[in-house]
Amino acid sequence: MCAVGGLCVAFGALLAPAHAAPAGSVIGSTASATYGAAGVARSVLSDTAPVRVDELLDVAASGLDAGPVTVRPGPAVLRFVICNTGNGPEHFVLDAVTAVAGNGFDAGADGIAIDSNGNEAYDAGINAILPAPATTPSLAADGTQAVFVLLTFRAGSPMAQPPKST
Amino acid sequence: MRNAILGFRLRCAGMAAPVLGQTSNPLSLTACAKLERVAIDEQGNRQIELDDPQPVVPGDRLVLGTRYANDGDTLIENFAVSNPVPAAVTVAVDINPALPISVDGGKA
Repeated sequence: MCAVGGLCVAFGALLAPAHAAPAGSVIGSTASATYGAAGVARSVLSDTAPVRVDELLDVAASGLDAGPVTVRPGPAVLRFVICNTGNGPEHFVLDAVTAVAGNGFDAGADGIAIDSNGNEAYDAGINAILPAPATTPSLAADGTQAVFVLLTFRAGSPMAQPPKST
Repeated sequence: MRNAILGFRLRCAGMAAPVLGQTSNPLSLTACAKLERVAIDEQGNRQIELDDPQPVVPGDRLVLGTRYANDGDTLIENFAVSNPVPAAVTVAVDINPALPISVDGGKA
């Protein structure tokens, strides 16, 4: 028997999470070849090399408000959107960071509510405040959820940047 | 779907005359996939290691390969192997420019 062997290679990278294969899926790589033997054109398939995709946990939070929000002493609402940038469904625990470093402008956090009716506007009595720990519903990969951070500003608070959500 | 096409001509020294009427496939292909990891050794040198890709996560770098062998005693000519890149994988931007890439299923 005469055997000639070799290895053909190709380099690839799994797509970024926004277009990623779902967690738990299996990617298969199968090659084919054509050749001639004894004057006859032939073809052959390889076996399949399976690659199992694990879950990548990632999340992003960004403000829905176009710019700085003007507030007055009393209650206020800031809007954010949470995006599951991983490749599997996940719940996320939210926390509002109201203490802005460098000044005394610390709003009081009253809670975080889910935009349950999808209008990106806080509707008291409709958008229920999440019980602690403030946990989102399960978000599919690339799924988003608008949330509202409910705040109270004290009279006499110095002007500063609005609080951040993490 | 993108294909990585590699063309080869396989020859065996001291090859016997072709076997007419042979029905078994003298050419075998074996697919393999490896996960490329970059490690830095104690001297700060960059080392590339290939591990079994079980599992992988988005953003990982893979090396997809095809091992081929002429298991028969017949001369194999005009050998071309096509290794379609799975839809969930993109061809790395720093791929060897000498590697032919087809975006039409290997027609061009």
